[in-house]
Amino acid sequence: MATPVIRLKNRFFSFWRQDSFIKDIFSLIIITILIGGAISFGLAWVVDAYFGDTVTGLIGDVGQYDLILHVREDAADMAKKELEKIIAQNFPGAEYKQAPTVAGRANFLLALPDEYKNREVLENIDSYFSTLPGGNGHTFIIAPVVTVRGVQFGAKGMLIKRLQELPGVKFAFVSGSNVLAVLTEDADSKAITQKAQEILDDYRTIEVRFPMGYQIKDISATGERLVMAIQDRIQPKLVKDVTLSEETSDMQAFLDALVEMKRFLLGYASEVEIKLDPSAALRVGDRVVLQGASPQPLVVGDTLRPDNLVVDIISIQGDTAKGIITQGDISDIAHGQLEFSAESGQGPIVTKSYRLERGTDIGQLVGETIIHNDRFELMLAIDESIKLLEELEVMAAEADETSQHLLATLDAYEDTLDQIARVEETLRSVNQSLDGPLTQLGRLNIDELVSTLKNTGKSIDYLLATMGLVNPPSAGQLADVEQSYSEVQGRTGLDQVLKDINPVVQLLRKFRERINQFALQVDTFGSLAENSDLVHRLMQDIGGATTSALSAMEQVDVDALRQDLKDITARLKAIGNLDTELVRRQMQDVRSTLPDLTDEEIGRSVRLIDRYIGGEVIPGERLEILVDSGVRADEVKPVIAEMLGTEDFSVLEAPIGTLQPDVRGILFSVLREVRSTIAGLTAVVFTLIILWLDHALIVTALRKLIPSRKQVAKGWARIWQRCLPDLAALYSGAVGGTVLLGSYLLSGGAIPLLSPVHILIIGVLAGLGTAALSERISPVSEAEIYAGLSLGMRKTDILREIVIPEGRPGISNLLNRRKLRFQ
Amino acid sequence: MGTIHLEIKNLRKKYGDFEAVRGVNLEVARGEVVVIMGPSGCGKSTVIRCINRLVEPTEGEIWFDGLPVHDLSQKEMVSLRRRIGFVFQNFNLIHRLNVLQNVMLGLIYAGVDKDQALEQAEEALRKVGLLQAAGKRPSMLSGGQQQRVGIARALALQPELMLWDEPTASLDPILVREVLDVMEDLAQSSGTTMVIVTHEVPFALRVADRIVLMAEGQVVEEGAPDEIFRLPRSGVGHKYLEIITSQYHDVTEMRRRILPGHRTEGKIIV
Ligand SMILES: Nc1ncnc2c1ncn2[C@@H]1O[C@H](COP(=O)(O)OP(=O)(O)O)[C@@H](O)[C@H]1O
Ligand SMILES: [Mg+2]
Repeated sequence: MATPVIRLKNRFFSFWRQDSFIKDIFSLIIITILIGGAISFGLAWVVDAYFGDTVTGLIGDVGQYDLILHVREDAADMAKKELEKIIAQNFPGAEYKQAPTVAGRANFLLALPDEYKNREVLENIDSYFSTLPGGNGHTFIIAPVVTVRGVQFGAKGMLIKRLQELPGVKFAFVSGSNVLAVLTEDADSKAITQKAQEILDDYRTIEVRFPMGYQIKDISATGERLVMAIQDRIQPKLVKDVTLSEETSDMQAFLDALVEMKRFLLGYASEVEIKLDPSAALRVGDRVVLQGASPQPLVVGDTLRPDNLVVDIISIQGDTAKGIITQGDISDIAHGQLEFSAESGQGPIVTKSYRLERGTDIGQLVGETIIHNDRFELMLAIDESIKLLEELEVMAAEADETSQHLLATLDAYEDTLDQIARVEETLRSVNQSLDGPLTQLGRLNIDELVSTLKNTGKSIDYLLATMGLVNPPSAGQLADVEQSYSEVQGRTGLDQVLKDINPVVQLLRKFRERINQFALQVDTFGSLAENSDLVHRLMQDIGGATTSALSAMEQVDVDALRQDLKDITARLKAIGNLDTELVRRQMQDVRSTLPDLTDEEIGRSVRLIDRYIGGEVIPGERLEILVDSGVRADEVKPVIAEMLGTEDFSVLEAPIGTLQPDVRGILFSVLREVRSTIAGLTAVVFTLIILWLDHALIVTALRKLIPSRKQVAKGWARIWQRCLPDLAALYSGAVGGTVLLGSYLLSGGAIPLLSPVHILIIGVLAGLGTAALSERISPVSEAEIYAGLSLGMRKTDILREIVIPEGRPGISNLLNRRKLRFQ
Repeated sequence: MGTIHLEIKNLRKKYGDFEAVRGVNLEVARGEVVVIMGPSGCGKSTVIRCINRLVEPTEGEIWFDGLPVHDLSQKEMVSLRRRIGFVFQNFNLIHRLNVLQNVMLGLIYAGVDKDQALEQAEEALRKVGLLQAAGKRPSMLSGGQQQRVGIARALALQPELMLWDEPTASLDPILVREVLDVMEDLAQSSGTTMVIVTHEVPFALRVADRIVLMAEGQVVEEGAPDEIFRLPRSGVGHKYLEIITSQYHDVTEMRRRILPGHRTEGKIIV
């Protein structure tokens, strides 16, 4: 009933069953795996502990040092001296330590004092150590840190800005293609790492690759166009051309600087604007001639004179052409036929321009030309301002004085007003007493009137005297100053006060004269005492004058004026407090930084820059655009296709950078890897040793003990039979695989690139290899086996009592001890 | 003779494609001493090892004491082998064990209790005259002594059948005597059935009840010692006999004595 396969299987199992050696084998394998796992783990642990210490010894504790300076080994001593010098000079307080030399490189660990740990220093660290002999770069080990690797060149600034906004980030800086965010000591680096990842996730780069051989002629311009197209079509939050990599970026920076320079120069050049005649077919790049400093008017057909002005046309829009002067200077025109003077900066120049033909001939009239010069205008404005500033201080002092006088005047004014009011009152009582014949009372009243009038006269005199101190011409000048500064200060006032008071003063003068007259006549009153008519006339006279003076004076709101004056005084004080000297100096600085270039020089420089920029375009086969993460590559593709008119390109998305654990983290992860690798390798070695010590012997013995079959099987069984003779090899492979995989897994081993399946295969192969060589590794005395057999010993007993004790001292030997009958 | 103790029927053994034994038939009666002779490589060892299945026969039957040896399981073989003593050409002593332990080995694993085993082992050693060497390592002994230990080891189990595979062939000529003496003593006094492979002609003449001459995997001659040496019929057997008998210095006298009628002068060229 039993099929050959089952029969063979049964035979195999019965073989193992009757020989309980299989149990020995099982316990042997289990114990072997346990020991192998323990040894592998233990060795790896020891190595790990050793390396961990070594690493600490090598680069210090976390955060102890900030960077490693690499120096050629032979220059180490010199470098040390220089390093000390550099530290003393640039980083006083910094500490350094010489770390072990690795692969021909001496290493110096450097700890910078906190005040030097900032973006400026760290980004330029190479420049500080450029004099280090044999210097070979540096590695940052600053900690705690979050490092973003492979950051897109164009994204660095933005990334730094955003990282620095994170709480816990002290500052961020660029090192090569990395951006490092240095954290505060107590920062939650995990949280920050996650936040940094979120930032990275906000952006992506889109790379456009063209097939081999396809070259974009001006990559910069194309990138710019693409950015515009994307902006137009997709309207992302962010789109930026970052095509130019770091290598080309120096060139790009230079080009950018040139462009900036051009813009700067053009800003100071005279601006030439030509209202083109309809007949003038002028194009960009053409040149036109202006009369300039030449006394001779331009005549068609004449040749160009050196004192003419030549203008290069740089742009044409509608009927207006713009250009820059490439021969002569705007100031030359001042000496010419025009009323314009550059020094006076009086508005634009208007003149005629003619086409310049063949470089020297004056051609057709092209139109009316207007020349502006911001440079002159600015210079002038500054000069004026400086002059004004110089006067300002004096004026402010004067104005202050004036206002003080005015305040005194106002006081006198009020006194006078009081006096006049009293005059009026006295007059009233005099008039009453004068109704009858001149009585004694009447005389008394007149006496009082006279004395009151005398006092009033004194008040008016005082008022006028103070008025005289006000110095009206100076006040006028002050008004000018005030006017100039009204824009700054926002109000005027002094002149208003004066304006209000002046007419009243005129009236008061007249009143004073009347008082004088009156007093003169009253002095002679006694003789006129009986002449009541005269008295009446006098009274009426002075009464009218008093009333009109009083009513005029009352119209002036003295309190309001006083308030105004107080405000003005305060403002003048503020002006006086201005550090006018500083302002003046700064304005002079500004003036001196204005390029002292003629239009011709500017024009030529601009032309040179243009020519250079025009020639220096960077070709390439890829474009790179920085966008926000809302933009998808497949969205961009049609935009590019339309723009370039080809579909022959590919579009890739990439992150703008990837996070990397800090150097320490890497080291320790490397160590972890080393540790598990060592564990794994130890497991392999252990397995080989075990196979060699224990199992080669068992394999050899099994080969001799497994009975060969009497009959040759047929069919399928034959195939089995073919395999079975090397049951011992199968055993060896199984043991190799089991032991290796078991101890490998148990030890936590992990050899890079090898999965447990690989490990199993290696184990099996090692086992099979051992089986192949077993006879040579562990010969077994066949004679003794036969002796055992002949004595009626079971195979198990033969293995235990004869084979294994005579084998090598392995685990099986150890375990077998307790099974021995003959110790 | 008495009852058949051992019967070999049409025994064949192939080593790969090479057939070392080609249909050997042999009957051994209880208590009979059979000597197998024949040139080297003719298959003597193979035959004798097939008897206790140290070598697995390819074909044929082996009956021992009515048991189909060829058909027994490994387990049954274990107990069967305890009944069959085997003496190896190269002694096959266990180097790790001393003389006494070697002799006790079979007994202990046969389940004999320790005291009994010790007694039996000492008895066996006494028989071969080596009791005094009981504590020695085999490597300390001479070849003859080692073989006597090998004999004692086989004897200790008190076997019903003793198989000897050229027990003296590895010995210096000077040591052969002591072994042969022990063997002769056993053969003549124990009454044990024996199958002996040897080239020792005088020994065979003295001890053998029957001599089986083998050549090229087959039995070519079989008979009483006198017959065998007197009338060699097989070509190979003849040559072999010439050689083994020529080893002795008094060859002519010996021939005259054991092989009457066979007159050969001078040396035989091999
Ligand atoms: N294990 C073996 N494998 C292959 N051939 C063998 C083996 N044992 C013996 N032989 C061969 O079988 C033949 C008989 O050998 P054997 O029985 O030892 O001869 P004898 O004992 O008569 O010298 C010889 O040719 C020998 O080479
Ligand atoms: Mg032999």
